Amino acid sequence: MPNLRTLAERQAARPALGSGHSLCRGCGIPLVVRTVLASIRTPVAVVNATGCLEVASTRYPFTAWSVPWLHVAFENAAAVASGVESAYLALRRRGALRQNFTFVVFAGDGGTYDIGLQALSGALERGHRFLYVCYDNEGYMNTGVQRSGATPRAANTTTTPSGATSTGKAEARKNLTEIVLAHRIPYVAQAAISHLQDLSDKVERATHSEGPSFLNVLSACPPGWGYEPRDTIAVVQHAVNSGYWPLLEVIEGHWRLTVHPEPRESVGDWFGSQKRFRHLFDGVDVDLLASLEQTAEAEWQRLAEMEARDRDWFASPDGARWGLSD
Amino acid sequence: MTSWFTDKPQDLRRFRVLTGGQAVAEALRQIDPDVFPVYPITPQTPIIEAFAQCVADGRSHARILTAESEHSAMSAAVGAALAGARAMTATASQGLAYMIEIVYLAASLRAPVVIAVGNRALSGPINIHGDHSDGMLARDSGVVQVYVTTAQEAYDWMVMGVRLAEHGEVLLPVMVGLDGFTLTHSAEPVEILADAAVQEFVGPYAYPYPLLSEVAGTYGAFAMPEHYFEIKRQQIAALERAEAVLPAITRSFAKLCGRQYAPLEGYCMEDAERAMVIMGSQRGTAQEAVDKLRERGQKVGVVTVRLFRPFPRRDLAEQLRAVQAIAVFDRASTPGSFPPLYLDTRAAVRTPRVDSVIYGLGGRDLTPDDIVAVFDRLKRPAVDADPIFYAGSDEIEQER
Amino acid sequence: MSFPDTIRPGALIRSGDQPSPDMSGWRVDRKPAVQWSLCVDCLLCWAFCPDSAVVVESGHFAGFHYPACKGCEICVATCPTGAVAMVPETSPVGPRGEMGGEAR
Repeated sequence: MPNLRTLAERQAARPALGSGHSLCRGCGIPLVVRTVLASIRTPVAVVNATGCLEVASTRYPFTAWSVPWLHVAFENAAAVASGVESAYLALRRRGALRQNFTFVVFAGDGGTYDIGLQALSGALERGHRFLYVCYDNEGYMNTGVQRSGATPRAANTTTTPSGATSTGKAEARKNLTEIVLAHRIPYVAQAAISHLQDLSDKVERATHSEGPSFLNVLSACPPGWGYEPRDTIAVVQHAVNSGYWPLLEVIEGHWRLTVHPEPRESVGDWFGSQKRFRHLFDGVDVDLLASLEQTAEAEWQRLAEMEARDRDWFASPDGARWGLSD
Repeated sequence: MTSWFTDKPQDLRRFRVLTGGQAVAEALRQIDPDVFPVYPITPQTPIIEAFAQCVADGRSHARILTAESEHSAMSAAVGAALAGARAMTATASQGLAYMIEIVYLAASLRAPVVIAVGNRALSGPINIHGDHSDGMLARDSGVVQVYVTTAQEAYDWMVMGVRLAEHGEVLLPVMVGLDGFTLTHSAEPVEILADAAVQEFVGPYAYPYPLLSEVAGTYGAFAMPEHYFEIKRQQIAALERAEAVLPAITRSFAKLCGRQYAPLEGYCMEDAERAMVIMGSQRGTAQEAVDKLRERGQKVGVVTVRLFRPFPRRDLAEQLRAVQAIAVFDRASTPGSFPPLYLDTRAAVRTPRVDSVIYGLGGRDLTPDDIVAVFDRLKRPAVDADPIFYAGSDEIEQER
Repeated sequence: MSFPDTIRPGALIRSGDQPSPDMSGWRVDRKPAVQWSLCVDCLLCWAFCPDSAVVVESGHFAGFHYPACKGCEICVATCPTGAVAMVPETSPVGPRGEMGGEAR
């Protein structure tokens, strides 16, 4: 697995996503993109859904990209990638293309959890070989911080504002990782921008698996979440270290937590690090904070049980092929 | 120059009795695209079923990408075409409505995808029969639009459409519209060219700027007001060039089989005083009505428009130059205003009297009597209070 | 035709058509700088910089590329040894933000 220095060397000459984009100060998205693409050794072609990344990195006539990159619309990135991958297979079959491409989709949580879910599901079911990376910043940030299916319960967004009769978003977030998993694709993982080595390792495994692979990467959004740009990494570390955002992978249906924070921080610290949850701490609704903490704890225990259940598989010859047994 | 009649005697062995849908599928098999992303919808299904069987039988190399929606089918077609592979698809009605966002993007991204459309009414109420309202949704998308009048034309324009779409001066999607059921499901003798002749005619797919290359490109960038307008104009200019490059393609096709096509076609127009303009499968009905009136000594004619986008306005003006009154038959409506073919015709001619006729919505028959009634109407003073005549729905005014 | 012929079909952009825009205007009075004596060359500042403003040469940290830096301070926040700090824009640091001493 490449370490940071190797990744840095690979990008020194020409990063796949360079500077000059207009993503906000402290935006987490470029960390996802650069780490993912530097971890792939073949030529890559990127399909990008509409969103912060697309708008900010390709303002005509400037492009921050130095790899083949295609954006068509918001909800169809997986479908576009299906077409690109099918074209690739057709061109290879008739000997019209020699390069061995890896295809990567980048889409935000809005373009993945919500409007792009149908296209994603169809592409996963058809089994196109690509790596789909959701950079998850828990809301429609490009359009001004509206709630998405990835926005957590209680978050204050511009469409779920807290107020006299509201404690922010009323619904829990959708578990997209498990929706994807239900397609029985070989590799599904959750990662975070605070743990780039973990992300890089997962990209290697994802791209070596046959068929589609999926990474749900927790990014961070200073204006949308309400924290100082300099704290981007610290805020996401809270999410991981509290168990709010477990770093895990599911290989051929077998679960494994890749980071075990010891001791786990309080989920309340994660909520407390962002202004979007400030109303949880004004003393009005103590029960809600407690219930959110209980939900996170129950989820962590559930994952720990699944990990325990599948430990033998990772030690078996099938699991050992992935080189992960302890 | 000898005519094709003497030059190329028709070989009856090449004729097969095919529906329009089967004829399109046969063209697909011979063109043998790399990728065929598609989603089923009536009345397009005969096309994709027949083509899927060709692939299953090893008679085509295409990868059929069975998308989970038309939106994704068109998205995949754009991805494949820009990646560097020949991509084609087929749809109809609600399917075209669902993919329409990506049809616009296909045009702006200059993805030369040929799309067969079994033209069908749009919901609601839901209806599976023929009209042009689905095609009209794509009217302003920037794609080339052709409306054919027979199964033979459907076959021929699928083949020519590939050349037109992929022409270096064009690089745009081409939509070949064939009326639902009237053409998609009705059988007629269709001359099928030799496989090798079609392959040679369309040539290899050679998109000049493939995504999958060593030269990295950014496709589908974000354009602010200082660039969007010019980018749009460049796209508009490409569509207009389609009209200019078409004659070379139709001439080259005529050398193969003798059928020489034009953007539009006049019938009995040499001395016509009154004329109608129409698109699609009802050309035959129109000609029958014209024949009937000609027998009665009336100087009437019909112009059938095949190339609807870009609109051949100069050719149409030339056809209608000496006509005193025109009735434009639209198989689609523009609620609250006049329908599309009418507006285009009106803008192309200086004839004072141009009437609008809407016919055939949701598969309603158009009869020769309906058309005769419209020609009769053209002899009377214009009716300002009732400017659109709904043929086949309005009462026919009797005047003999 | 009044519009330029330089627009490729589909408004395709080739990488390198335009130089990277200078983003330094996004900074508010301060820029990052490095104290070489404290730097352990862990590359965390490079890894976590959203703007590719941290220069790596031959696999080692080599300072900052100021035109790319928006001043988010993530490099300061993630530096484990305090080698990176924000300094006033007018500070007399080296062209890559070197505070005293030679670059490694």
